[in-house]
Amino acid sequence: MTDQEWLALMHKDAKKGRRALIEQYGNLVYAIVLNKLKASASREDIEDCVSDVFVAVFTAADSFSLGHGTLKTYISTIAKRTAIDAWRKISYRQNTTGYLEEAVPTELPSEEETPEETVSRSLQKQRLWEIVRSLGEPDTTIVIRQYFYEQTAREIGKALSMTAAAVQKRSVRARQRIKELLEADGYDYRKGDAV
Amino acid sequence: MKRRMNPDDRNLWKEWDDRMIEELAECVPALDDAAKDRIERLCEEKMELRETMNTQNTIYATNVENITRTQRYRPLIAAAACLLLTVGAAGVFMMGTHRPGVTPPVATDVPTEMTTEPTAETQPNHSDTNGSDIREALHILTERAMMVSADYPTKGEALEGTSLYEVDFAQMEADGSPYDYASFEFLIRATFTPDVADWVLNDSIYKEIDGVLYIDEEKAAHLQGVPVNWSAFTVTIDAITEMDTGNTCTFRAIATDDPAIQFPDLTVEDRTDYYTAQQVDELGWRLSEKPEYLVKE
Repeated sequence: MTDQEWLALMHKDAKKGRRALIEQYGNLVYAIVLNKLKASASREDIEDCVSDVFVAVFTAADSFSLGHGTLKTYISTIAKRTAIDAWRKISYRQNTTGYLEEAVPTELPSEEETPEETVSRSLQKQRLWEIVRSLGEPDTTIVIRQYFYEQTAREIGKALSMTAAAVQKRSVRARQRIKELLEADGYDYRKGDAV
Repeated sequence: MKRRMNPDDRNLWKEWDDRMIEELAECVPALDDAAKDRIERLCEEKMELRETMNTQNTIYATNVENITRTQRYRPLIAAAACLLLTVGAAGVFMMGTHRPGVTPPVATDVPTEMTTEPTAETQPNHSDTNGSDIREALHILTERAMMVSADYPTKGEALEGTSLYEVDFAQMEADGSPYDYASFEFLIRATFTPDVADWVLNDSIYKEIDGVLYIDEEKAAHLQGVPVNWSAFTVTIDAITEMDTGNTCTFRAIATDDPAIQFPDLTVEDRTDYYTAQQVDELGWRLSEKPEYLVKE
């Protein structure tokens, strides 16, 4: 569905329009929010934050002018900002005294990091992502579900119609394969830095 | 601090810089239908809540407008009253000076009724007396409410630029103080018209933030200034401060004139238990906003 079609649907039938947006961008918003909150929030908190994102978009739908960009970029930015606000609120509730940057990795480099190191880290991140994608299914899905969505082997097995033991075994092999590929690139995983 | 999410803000429309998250979400979608249903339901609830809050804000603005409108005429009324008094005094003076030999009567006796305090059996019907009684009671109870708020605060909470004191209901109940709060709210409900009472109780003095109820001390202190339309109805309240150390709270209030008042049966005497949910409903207290201790199933 295009952005214009969605706006037209919102004006015609708001309830259907809301559901359509959740269907289309729910996974993206969830991933963005999860990326910011998984260190400190429960699943309920994350879903609550996701709903906040959509409420913000629905509320602003009447005043949208799509000339500024795509709906996807707008929703993504709203999701990122709302997640950071939620992180602050949750941290306050949990009496966390740390800064956001300490708990959640962001694009901002730390004070000690040089620009070269920042670029290097970004490239490593990109390379790791390429390797994960190159593993092939179902290993790619298993690794993502296990290490990004933080699902258990049982949950992953249920989603992929596999046993938990099979998921665990495939996960071990996948990690071994990732390690080999990173080492072939000259990455020393024990130091956590490129050599 | 919450950031603004204005769609006109061009920064919100800039290209999303973290492609990896996007690819990842496309590669492995995390939400199943049940999760999407839950999120949709949450959205619906929040949208409804927003609409309700918008409606309440409109009502609040209307109430404030009504109240401030009456305040605009105060100087005029005061000036008219002064003029009337001056003319009356001048008239009396002129009459006295034009009738030599006639001395004004001197009060030689004080009526004994003046020293008798009203009881539950005696119901004063003069609106002036009622007004002063209520004002006096209101003053006492406002002070008491503030004392309660001062006795059980989480001191130092300064939220949104106001001095707020957290009310520890559990501690109040343990100390037998909830009746202070209960009779205070009761009096407000019995004294003001329902919409003004709602404003006073819900929007003006009490504030709920993240599930915790606070008393705004500064606004509570200004309660005395809220105008009351005394001529619209007559309320008789007596023995409201009759509270012993046990669980007895005696007060009596009768709304007489205005059928629009939602308190047809306000006589509650010598109660030794809490209000029932039905009584709370009859008194017009909304279940979602009353303290838990007011309900005993």
